[in-house]
Amino acid sequence: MSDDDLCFLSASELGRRIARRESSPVEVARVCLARIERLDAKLNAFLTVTADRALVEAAAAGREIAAGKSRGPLHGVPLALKDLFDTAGVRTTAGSKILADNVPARDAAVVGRLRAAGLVLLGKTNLHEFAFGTTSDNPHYGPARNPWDLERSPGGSSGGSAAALAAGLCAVSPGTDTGGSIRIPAGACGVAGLKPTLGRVSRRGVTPLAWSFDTVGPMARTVEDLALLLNVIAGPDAQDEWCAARPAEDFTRSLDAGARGLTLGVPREWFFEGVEPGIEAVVRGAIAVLEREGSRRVDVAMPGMADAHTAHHAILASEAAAFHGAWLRERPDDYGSDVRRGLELGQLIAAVDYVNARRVQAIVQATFRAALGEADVLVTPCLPQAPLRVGEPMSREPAAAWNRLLTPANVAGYPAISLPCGFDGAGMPVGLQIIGRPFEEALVFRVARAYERATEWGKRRPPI
Amino acid sequence: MAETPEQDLIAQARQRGLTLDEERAAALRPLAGSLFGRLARFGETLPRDAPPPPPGVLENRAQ
Repeated sequence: MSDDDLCFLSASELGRRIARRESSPVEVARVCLARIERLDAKLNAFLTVTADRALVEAAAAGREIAAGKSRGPLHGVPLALKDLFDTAGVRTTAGSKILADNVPARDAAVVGRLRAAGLVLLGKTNLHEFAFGTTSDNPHYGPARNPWDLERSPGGSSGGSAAALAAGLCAVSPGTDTGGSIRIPAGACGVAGLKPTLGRVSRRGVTPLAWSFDTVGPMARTVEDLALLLNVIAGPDAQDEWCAARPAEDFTRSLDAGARGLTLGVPREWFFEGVEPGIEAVVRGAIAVLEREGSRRVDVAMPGMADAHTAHHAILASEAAAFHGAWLRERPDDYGSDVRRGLELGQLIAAVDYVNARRVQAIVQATFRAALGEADVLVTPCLPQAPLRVGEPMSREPAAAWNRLLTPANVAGYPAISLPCGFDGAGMPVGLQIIGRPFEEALVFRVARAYERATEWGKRRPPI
Repeated sequence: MAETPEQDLIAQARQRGLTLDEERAAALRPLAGSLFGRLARFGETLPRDAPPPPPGVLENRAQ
C-alpha cells in the first residue's frame, strides 16, 4: 500500500490494520507527519505539530499491541485536536493572541479519554479565533485553507481539523460546535462531522464560547469512524455538571441496519430557502437515494427558524461577551476585528433581550419536537452556498449567514450530522445535514451510513 | 441624549467599561441595528406566558 493510500484509510480500517500488525502505529504516524510536513505549508491546518511526542506515543501503542494489550478499535490511530482542547504540556491557543503562550497543566476530559483509548496525537489544528466565527480566517496564525480549493475557506470554526481530514493528514479529529462549527467545515471540506446532543460529551477543559450551546463532537472521513470516536469521547463526567448522566452506549450498534422503514422529514420552510440551485439539486438527489434505500419521505412544518437564528445570535454573543468581558476591557486590541466586533455587540445586548431569546429557544425546541414526532430524522442541506473565498467576510444576518441552516439544531440542542453528498458546479463538496431526536445519535448514524453505503462521495480525494 | 446612533453605541459601551471609537462604532452599527431590531420584535410578539426552556429539557424528553 502506498503512503498516500495509508493516509486516506478510514480510522476503523487503520485500527484493524494496526491490530493485525500489518502496519505499526509508528509507521502510520511517520507517514502522516511526513504528509503534514509536505502539505501543511499550503493548508495551514495545524498550529502545533507534536511530532516527537507522537512518535513516542505511537511506539508505546505499538509495544502494547505487540504484547496483546488492546485499548480498542482506535488504538494507534493518528489524531489531530482542535486547538480549543486543553492538552497537558502542549500549547493551547484557542486560535487567539491572548492565549498564545498558554500551556495547560491538565488534559481536557475528552483528551484524557482519547489517550486512554490509545490514539496518537499528531498536533493541534487551526480554528477561528476563540471558535467565534465560521471561516477559520485566523488573524494571528493565518487562514486555514480548503484542500478542494486553496483560495477558499475550509469553514469554521473547526476548519483546520476538517482541512486536515480532507487532505489525509490525520484519521480523526474531535471538534466543537456552538453554531455549526463542526458541520460547516465538514460540509465545506467533504468530510463527516457530528454535533451530538447538548450534554452528550464532557466540555471540561475546552475553552467556552457559549455555555448554552457548546458541544464537543467527532469529525472523521466516514460515519463508522464518527461512531467509534463518539464511543470514546461520550459519557458522563462527574466534574462537568452540563454533561448528561447517561451511561455510555455503543454508537456502532445499528450502523448497518439500513434506512428501510424509516421516515425522513423534509422541512417545508427555511432549510431550502436561498440555497444555491446546484446545492439544492445535490441534496434533493441525496434524499432520493435514501428513499430508494427504503425510507419514506414526509414534508414537515418548521416555522420560526429565522427567529431561531436570531435567538442563537443573541444568546451566543451575550454568553461569549460574558466569558470574554475582562479580556475585552483590558486587551481589546489583542482580538481580531470580527471577533472583537461580535463580543462588543454581545456586551450591548440587554438582559431582557437575552431572556426573550431564551423564550424563543423553548418555542424552537417545541417545533423540533413536533417535527420529529412525524419523522425519525430531518434531512436538509448543510450549507446554503459554496465555501467563502479566503478573506471574504462572513455575515451574521439571518438571510445571509453561512450557518443559518445549522443554528436551529444548536438552539434545540438536538444531534445533527453533516456528511458528503456530492459536489456543486464549481467542484466544491456539498454536505447533507441529518438531525435526530435528543440522544438518538445512533439512529442519525444509521441513516447516514445507509446513505454513505449507497454512494461513493466520501471516497473522493481533493486535488492537493 | 446621544446625537447619532454611533454616539449612542459609544455611550452604552462606556457603561460596560469598553472603549469604542467612532470608527468601530460605525462598523458595529449596522449589525447592532439589525439584531436589536429583531430582538425588540421578540418582546412585542412572544406570548406573555411563554417561558424559557425548563432545566434538563433534553434529558426529560429523551426518557
